[in-house]
Amino acid sequence: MRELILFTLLTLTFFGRAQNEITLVDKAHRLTAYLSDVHVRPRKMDSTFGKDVNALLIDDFDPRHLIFSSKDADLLQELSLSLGSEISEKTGAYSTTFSKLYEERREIAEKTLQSLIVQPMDLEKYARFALDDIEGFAKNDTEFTQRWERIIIKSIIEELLDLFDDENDLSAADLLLKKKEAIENVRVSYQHYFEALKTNDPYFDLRFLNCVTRAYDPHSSYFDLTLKDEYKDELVADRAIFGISYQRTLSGKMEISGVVPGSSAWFSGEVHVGDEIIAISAADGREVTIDSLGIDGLRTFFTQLQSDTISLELSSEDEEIKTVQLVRSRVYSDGDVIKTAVLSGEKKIGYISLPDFYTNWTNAGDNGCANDVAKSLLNLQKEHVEGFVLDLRDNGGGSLKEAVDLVGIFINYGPVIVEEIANGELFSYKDMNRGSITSAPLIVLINAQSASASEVVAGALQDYNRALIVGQTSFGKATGQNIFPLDPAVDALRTNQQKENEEWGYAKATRMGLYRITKQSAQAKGIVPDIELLNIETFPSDYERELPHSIQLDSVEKNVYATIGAPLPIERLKAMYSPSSISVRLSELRDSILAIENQLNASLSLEKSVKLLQLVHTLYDAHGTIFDEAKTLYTPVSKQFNDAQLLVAPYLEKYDHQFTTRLLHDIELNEAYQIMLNFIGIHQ
Amino acid sequence: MDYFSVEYVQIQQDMWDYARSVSHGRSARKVEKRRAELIQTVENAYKKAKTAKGFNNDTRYKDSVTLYFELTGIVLREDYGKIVDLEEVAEQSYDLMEAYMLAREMASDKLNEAGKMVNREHRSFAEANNITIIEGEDTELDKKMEITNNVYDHYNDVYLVFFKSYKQELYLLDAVSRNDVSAIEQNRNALLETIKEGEAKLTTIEKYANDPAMVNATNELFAFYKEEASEGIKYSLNYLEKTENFNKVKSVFEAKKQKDRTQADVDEYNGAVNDMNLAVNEVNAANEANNKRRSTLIDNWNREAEKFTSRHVPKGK
Repeated sequence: MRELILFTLLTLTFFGRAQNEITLVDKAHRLTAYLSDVHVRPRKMDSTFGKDVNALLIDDFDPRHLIFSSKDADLLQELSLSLGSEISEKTGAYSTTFSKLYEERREIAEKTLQSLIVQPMDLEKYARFALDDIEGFAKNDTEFTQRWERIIIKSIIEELLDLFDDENDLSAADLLLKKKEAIENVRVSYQHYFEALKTNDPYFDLRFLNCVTRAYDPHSSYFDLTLKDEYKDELVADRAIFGISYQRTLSGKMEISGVVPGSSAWFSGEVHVGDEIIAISAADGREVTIDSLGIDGLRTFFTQLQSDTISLELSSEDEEIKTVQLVRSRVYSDGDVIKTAVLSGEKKIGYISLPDFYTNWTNAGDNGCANDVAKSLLNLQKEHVEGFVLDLRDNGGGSLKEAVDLVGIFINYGPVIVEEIANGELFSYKDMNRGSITSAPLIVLINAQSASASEVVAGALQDYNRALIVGQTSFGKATGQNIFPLDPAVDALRTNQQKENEEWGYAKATRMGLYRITKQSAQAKGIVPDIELLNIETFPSDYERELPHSIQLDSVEKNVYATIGAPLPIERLKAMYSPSSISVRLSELRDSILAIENQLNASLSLEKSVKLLQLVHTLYDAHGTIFDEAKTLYTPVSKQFNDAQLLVAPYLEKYDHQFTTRLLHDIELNEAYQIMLNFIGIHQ
Repeated sequence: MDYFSVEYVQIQQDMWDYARSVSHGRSARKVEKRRAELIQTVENAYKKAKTAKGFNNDTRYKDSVTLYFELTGIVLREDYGKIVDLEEVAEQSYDLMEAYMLAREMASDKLNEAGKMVNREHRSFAEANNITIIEGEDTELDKKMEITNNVYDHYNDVYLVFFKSYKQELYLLDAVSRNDVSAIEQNRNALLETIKEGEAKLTTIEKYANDPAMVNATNELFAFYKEEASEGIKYSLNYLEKTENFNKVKSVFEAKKQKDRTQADVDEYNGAVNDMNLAVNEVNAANEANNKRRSTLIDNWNREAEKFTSRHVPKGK
C-alpha cells in the first residue's frame, strides 16, 4: 500500500510538471491564434506563411549566409512549407530541425574561422570583388571557406581603418604594421561572437516567435517579460534610474561607459567612465558577478530588479576596488523630454521639439506630452512670439491618444484619425476639447524618421489646413500596436482581473490601421510636406514601404464630419522659397558621402579602402565646416529650465548650452524660419 | 375620416394637460404622470390606427395616420434610435448632449414630415371620395396650444443659447479639476467664443410679449462666464504653473546630498514653496467666490425661466 501511494504521488507530480511546462509550439500556436483574431490583416497559415517565416529566421540567424549552406537552405525551405500546419497541430519538426542544423553548422563555421585566422592573410586577395558580390548560400566547402575568408579580410580591414580614424595621416603601408594587432582583435571579437551564439540558445524561442510575428508585419513582435518591461520603460519620459550605462570591451570586461548628470551615480562622485563592474548586489538580496553574465544578462538583471538600492563593486582604472551605494531616482533625461526655445530674429518664433509621444501609461490622471506642449505654448505666448514651429523630426511615435490630444490643441474640435480594426469596424478618434490654444501660424517640421503618431499629427494638421508641413516625406507607418499577454486564461477584455502567467509571453500586435480624415491612409506613403527641404543628413533614409511584409492600406468608406479651415497660401510660399546655397551644398555632399560609404562598405581591398576613407573624411570635414560656419537668421534662447533650477543644479547648464548650440547649427530649422517669416508676412 | 378624430382630440387634451403641468409648477411626480398618460393615449391611438381597415382598398390615409402616431410615441419616449441612425448622429456630434439634441431635432423633423403627410393624405382622401373639407374655427384648446407653443418657442431658443455656455463652463471646470492645462486653455477659449456667439444670438431672438426676463438672466450669466474665462481661470493656471516650478526645484534640490546644499539653494527652494502656497490661497479664494456667484446666477436663471412660463402659458383645462 505504501509503495502504491508513493508511486501515485510521484506520477501526479510528474504530470503536474508536464502540464505546467509551456513549450515553444504551445506559444507559437497561441500566438498565431491570437494574431488571427486581432491582427488588422491576418494571414493564412499556408505554405507561403511558412516560407516567409523561414526567410526571416535565416535572415535573423545568418544574415550574411556564413553558417548555412545551400543544401541547408533548401532543406529548411522545404520543411517550412508545412510550418503553418505544424503550428496549428502543435508539432515542432521545423523549429527542432532549424535549431539542430544551426548548432551543427555553427560549430563548423567556428572551426573554419579558427583555421583561417591563423593563416597568413593577403588583404588584397579579393580586391577585385565587392562584399555584396556574394549571393545565396555556399554550394560546397570551398565556397564556404572563401566566404569566411572574405569576411575575415573585411573585418581586418575595418579594424585597421578604425586605427586610421584615430591617427589621420597613416598610409596603407603604415597600417600594415598594425596588421598583427588587428588580426588578434578580430580573432578575439569572433571568439566573443561565437560564445554569444552559444549562450544565445535560450533566446532561440524568442527569435523564432519574433519571426512568426514579423511574417504578419514588421511592427508586430513577441516579447518575453524582460522585453515587455524594457519596451514600456522606453515609452515613459519620467523614469527612475541609477544613472549608469555600460558596455562590454573587446577584452570581455564590463565597464562603465557613461554617468548621467544629476543621478545617484553622479552625485556619489565615485563612479567614473572606464571603471570595471565586478559585482552587483541588491537590497533584496540578489547578487551577480559580472563574469557569469553577458551584456544581455546584465540588461535582464536591471530590468527585473525590484529593489531601488544597489551596491556596485567597481575596479577603477588604477585597479582600486571600491563599493558604491546607488539609489534609483528621477533624473532629467535630455533625450526624452520636450524642449522649447524662442528664436529671436526679424520676428520672434516659438520653437518646440518633441522627441516622442510619451505618456503616463499606468496612471491616466497624469498628463503626457500633449499637455507639455500646451504648457510650452502658453509660456512662449508670454514672450509674444508671432508663430510656432513644432519639430517632429526623428520622432518615431508613441501614444495615439497623445497625438489626438496634440492635434486638438490647434483645431477647434473634430475627428483626427479613423481607425480600422480586425473585423473591419471603423472608429473615428476625435479631439475631446472644444476650442484651441492658439491660431498663430504654425509650421510642423518632419523628416524620414518621423513616424506613426508624428504622422497622425502632421497629417491631421495638414488636412485641417492648420499647419504648413515642411521637411522631407515621413516614414509611412500608419498602423497601431498594443501589447497583450498571451496567457489563454486572460480574457480579451481583462474582465476577470486575472494576473497573467508571464511564461506565455506577450504579443505586440498590429491591431489597427489608421486613415486620415481624407479617408486615405499614409501607410507606406508617408506625409508629403507642403514645402520640401533638401535632405542634408549623412545617413540613408529608411521607409516603411521597404520593410518586408509591410501592410497595405488604401482608403475607407466612412462619413467624417470635420470643419476644415481656409486653405493656406502654399503655392505662394513655395514660390517665395528657394533652398539656401548652404543646404544645396550640404545636400550635394550628402549624396557624395553616401555613394563613397557604399563603396567603402563593399570594398575588399585595404588600399582602396584607405583611399575611400580619406575621401570620406575630406567630405565629412567639408560637411562639418559648412555646418560650423553657417549662420542662422535667428538667435535661440532656451526656455528649458527656470532660473531656480539652474541655480540649484548648475550641471543643467550643459544641456541648455548643447540645446542652443544645436539650434544655432540647425540648417533645416533655419530654412523653416525663413519660410515662417514669409508665412507671417502673408498672414498679416 | 371621423375614425381617427376621437384619438386626435384625446391626444390634444392630454398634450395640453402635460404642457400645463410643466408650465405651472406642478410637482415632478405629477408632470411625469401627465407624460405617462400622454404616451399611453398615443400608444392606444397607434394600436387602433394599425388595425384599422382602409377605405375601398386605399390604405394611404390610414397608413399616414398610423405612422404619425407611431413617430409621436417614439419622440415622446425619446427612443430616437428607432428612427434615426444614432451612429451617424454620434459621428456628427461633439459630445453626448450634442448628440441627444441632434437626434431629437432629426426625430422632430421626421415627425413634422409625417404630420404634413397626414394633411396631404387627408386632403387627397377627401378629394378622391368627393368630400368637401370645411376648415373649422379653432377651438379654445387650439388657441391655448398655439400660445403655449409660441411661449415654448421663445423658451427653447433662449434655453439653447444658455445651455451651450453652461455646458462649456462645465467642461472648463472639469479640465481644472483634472489639472489638465491643455484642456483648461482650450475650453477657456471655447467658452469665450461660445459667449460671443450667444450674445449675438440673443440680440436676434424676439422677446415674447416684450418680456426680457429670460434674456436678461442669460446675459447676467454670460457676464460671469466672461469674467471667469478672461480673468478667474488665471488663478488656476497660475497655481498649476507654480506647483510645477516647485516640483522641478524640489527634484534637483533633493537629489543633492544635504552637505552639498548651499544657502542659495535653500532660499530658492523656500521661495518656490512660498510662491506655490500663495497661489493655492489665491485659487481657493477665487474658486469659493466663483462657486457662490455661479450658484446664485444659475438659480436665478431657473427661477426666471419658471416664472416666464408660468406668466405666459394660459391656465385652465
